[in-house]
Amino acid sequence: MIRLNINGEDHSVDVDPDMPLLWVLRDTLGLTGTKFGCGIAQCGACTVHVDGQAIRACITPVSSIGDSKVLTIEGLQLHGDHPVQQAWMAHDVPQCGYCQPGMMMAAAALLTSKPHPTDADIDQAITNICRCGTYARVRQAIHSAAKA
Amino acid sequence: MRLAQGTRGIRVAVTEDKVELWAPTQNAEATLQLAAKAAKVDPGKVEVHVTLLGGGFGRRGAPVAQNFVPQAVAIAKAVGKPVKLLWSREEDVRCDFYRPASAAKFTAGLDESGALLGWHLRLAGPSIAHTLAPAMLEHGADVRMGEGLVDMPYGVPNILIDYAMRNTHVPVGYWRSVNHSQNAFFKESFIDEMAHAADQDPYQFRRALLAHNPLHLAVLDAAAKKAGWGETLPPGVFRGIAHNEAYGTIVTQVVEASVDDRGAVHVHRVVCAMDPGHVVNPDTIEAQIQGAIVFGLTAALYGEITIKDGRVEQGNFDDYEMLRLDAMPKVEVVLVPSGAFWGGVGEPGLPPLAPALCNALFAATGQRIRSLPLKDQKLHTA
Repeated sequence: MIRLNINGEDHSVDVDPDMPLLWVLRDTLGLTGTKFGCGIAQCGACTVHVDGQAIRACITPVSSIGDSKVLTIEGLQLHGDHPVQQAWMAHDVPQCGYCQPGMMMAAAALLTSKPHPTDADIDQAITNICRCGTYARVRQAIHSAAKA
Repeated sequence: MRLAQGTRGIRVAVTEDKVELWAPTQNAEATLQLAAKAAKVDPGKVEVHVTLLGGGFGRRGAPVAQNFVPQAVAIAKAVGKPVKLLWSREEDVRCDFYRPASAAKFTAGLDESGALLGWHLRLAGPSIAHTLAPAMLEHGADVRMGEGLVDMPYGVPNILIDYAMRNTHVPVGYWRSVNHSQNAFFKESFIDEMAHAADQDPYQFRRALLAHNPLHLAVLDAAAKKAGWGETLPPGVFRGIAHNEAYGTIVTQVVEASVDDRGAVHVHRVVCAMDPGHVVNPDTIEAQIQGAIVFGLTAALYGEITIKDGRVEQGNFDDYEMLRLDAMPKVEVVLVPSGAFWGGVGEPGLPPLAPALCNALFAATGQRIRSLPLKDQKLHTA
């Protein structure tokens, strides 16, 4: 059994230690907000926080988490009142929505490390792929969330 | 390549008296028929729950292209349990229905004043209708291959369009803006070449060709005005313009771009004027235009599928590059609804992007881009 702390709750999962965190979250624990897009850490649809850092869960073996605290989109703010969630709604950012949980987790981690990011900071930190092309609004929403 | 963010995924449960599917489909009626056929049951015994798509862009619509439906039903029947099928990104890339690789050869004549006398357009490429919907062929011909050309708004006194259908073993399918996506590149690049040959400004050259067409002129002028056409740009930055009508909506785009010392292309600003007839939600239209520009720009810069030994070489985002946030240009949208019939807003924002960009690159480098993607071009500053 592998012990995990996810969104503030302890879980024990009976899975292969090599299983990527993404599939433990989705298939074992039913936390389907975290998405699969590429499986090679390119697109960021699977972005979650481990001890506050944005990581790509699709290439992270579950056994590497240890005592660290995992935060998923489900745990960002239960009632949607995180500044990132508020800004995302205000700017109507999502289109198909599939990449947006990862995009929002990347944005939330950036705002934790840099509460007032510049455009260059955003360029560097937000490397997630959005096939619908919501990039302009992602940028606007991050600046809005920084002001909140 | 569509490379929708969500790869093909579907859930199927086959029981004795029912086939139930949870499917990200753009055409649920086709999904239902396909499932019924695969399960060998009456369509009345099939139930389809339509889920969120995770991006469609045309891949999840046509019955032939919904090949993941009979696949999942067959697996569910074989294992006798409910099945969730999820394609890997590599399967998604390698088992697609691709944007048709097409070619064009154009010849035109101008009089001494630079006015267009006649235009011969020759097109060759695979037919989407032939792959996905043969019933759409008329006497064996696919007139949709001429989208945006047979019905072009320019006043051309003499025009001849030839199309040679050249189908290969590579399946082709609907891609955002369908045949407009390549035809607008051909048409608007060539219009720019004609303007250059006539020693005329490319915006003014188009104005003259649209003089009889006030609806089109209004959109062209709105884009040029918003873009500040003719005004001085920062050193190294150049403009290109392109104009197209698709699915009842008229669009003009002006792209500002530069080429750096290494030959890399930078797109700084895209002005997009659009007349979709009527505007219901301008915010949604702006979002669709932003998205169409990202889609078109990604394809123009990077979009390339190569086949080797009968197999697609690319497999994932590491060998099929995507535009990311750091390369997103500033997009400015001007909506000029004329009150004419309703047009679409999801696709028409795409076709002008590649030619407007390549026309800007011609202004920047003197090099005429006659094939895409740009990553395969060696560009140098003038």
